[in-house]
Amino acid sequence: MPDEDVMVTVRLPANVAQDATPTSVATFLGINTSDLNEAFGVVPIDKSKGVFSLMMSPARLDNISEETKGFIEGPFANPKIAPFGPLE
Amino acid sequence: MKIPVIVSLQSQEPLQESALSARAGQPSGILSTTRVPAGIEVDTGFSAVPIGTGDVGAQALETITPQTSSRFAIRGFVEAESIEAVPESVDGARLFSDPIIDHFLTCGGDAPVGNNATVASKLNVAALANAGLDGTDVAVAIVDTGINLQHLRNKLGIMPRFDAANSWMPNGVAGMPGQLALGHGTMCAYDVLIAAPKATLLDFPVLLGSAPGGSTMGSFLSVAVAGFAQLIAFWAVAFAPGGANRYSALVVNNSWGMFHPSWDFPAGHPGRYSDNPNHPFNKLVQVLAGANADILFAAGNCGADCPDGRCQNVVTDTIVGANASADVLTLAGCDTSDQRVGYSSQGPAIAGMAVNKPDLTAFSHFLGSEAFGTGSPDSGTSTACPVAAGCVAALRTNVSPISTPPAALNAQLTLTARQVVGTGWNGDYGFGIIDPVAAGQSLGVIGAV
Repeated sequence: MPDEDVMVTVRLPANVAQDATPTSVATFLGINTSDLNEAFGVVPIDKSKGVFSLMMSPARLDNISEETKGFIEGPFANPKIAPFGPLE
Repeated sequence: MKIPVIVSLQSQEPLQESALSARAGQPSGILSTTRVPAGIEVDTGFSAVPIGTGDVGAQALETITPQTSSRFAIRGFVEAESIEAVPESVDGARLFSDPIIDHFLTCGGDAPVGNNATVASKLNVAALANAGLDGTDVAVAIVDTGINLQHLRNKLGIMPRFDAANSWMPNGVAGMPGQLALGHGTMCAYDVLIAAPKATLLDFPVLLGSAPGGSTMGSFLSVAVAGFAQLIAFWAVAFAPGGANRYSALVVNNSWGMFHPSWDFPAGHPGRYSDNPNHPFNKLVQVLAGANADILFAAGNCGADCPDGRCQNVVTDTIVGANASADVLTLAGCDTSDQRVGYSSQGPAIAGMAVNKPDLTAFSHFLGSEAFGTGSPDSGTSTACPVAAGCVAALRTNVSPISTPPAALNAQLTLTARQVVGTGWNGDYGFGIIDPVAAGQSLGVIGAV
């Protein structure tokens, strides 16, 4: 997945959260499915609370309507990670 | 202040007697009849040592015996305002520094210290096995660079238990779980099996994600987010009515993390990972732990004595993110002589997370999987973590996560850990070195051994 995309979370209403897909989430946010990072998809963080994670470009995030932005938290860091094995 | 010194004295009969007794294996310390300049308090527990003429340069061995030596070294103390104020001599007796010394800690690049059998012996794996605690029906997810089962088979002589159907691959990564390139993940899998040889391995190669340049030795946290979401889905199904409840417990090994704060958003950013329990990945860890999975993380390799170069000499506040979560067991590393390995990250953890990290210490830097070549050690806190994960998996054979949730098991493990330095928690070892048999006895699943 492109590392320039940013990670956000979205709190979905129960009817959308029940069967969240990139299409249903994009519709809820008022954006195109292609605006979401397809490789990352829609990842459940805490299904019981309707919280999912998405990735999208910062420009696309900036263009989401103020009303819908209220459901979104982020952006969150997506740092590089590495094994703690043999030392370099 | 009283400062320890080594004193050079002219030969005299009580010094010769002291040195002769020591040489005969009957050290008698320094006799009270020894003539010592005023102002020097003798350490009477330290025998006299013949030093020949005490001059610089080669001396014949014959001149350094108790009978022939013209000078002797003894240990004593002088009163001085500071070390700098200690005089060169007192009444003609030369004074020398007696500094605190310690043996060097094991560092990266050092030869292995012991082997997998040493580790099994130190953990008393035989007692675990005798109690039937071998990891049967316990799933252990290796969240890492991928597992090479063929190498494990070659090393162990048998094929380990493996669940390909419930393993996972990141999007866009080629290969099959269990058939991935030999490396870090295979090392971790091998080390789990030391204490839990009948555990079932799950392969979650999140570190094979799309790191820039196609590197297979690093990834981005978003890949771990996707991997953990999959683990939660698997574990939910395992416990669902009619689901794949063939496992009594799930243990999740994480021998990875961030090496430097520059990899994260800057301090104070609300979306930062290092010190933010509300980051999506830290939330996932909370959810998975809340579903009674045992989650272990390595503390990191930024210990002050010999940190990994990627730490860029930052050696404080280095236990961050999920590695410092209150919902996980965080592992420091020691060698098989119980000495902390010099690269093992030290607590406390970063403010904002659970600061008393690491929780425990487990063994590392021993000859084990040889995943990095013949004779190479299994090293890093990356090794300590799966050694401990194996202990947890072994205990989970008969300790249900329903009756003893992860927090309760972790409490028992810390209470029964073998303390190395003082009592209570310290930043080097946490609560001590993991002792699965003591924990098993405390939990009532192991009798007297």
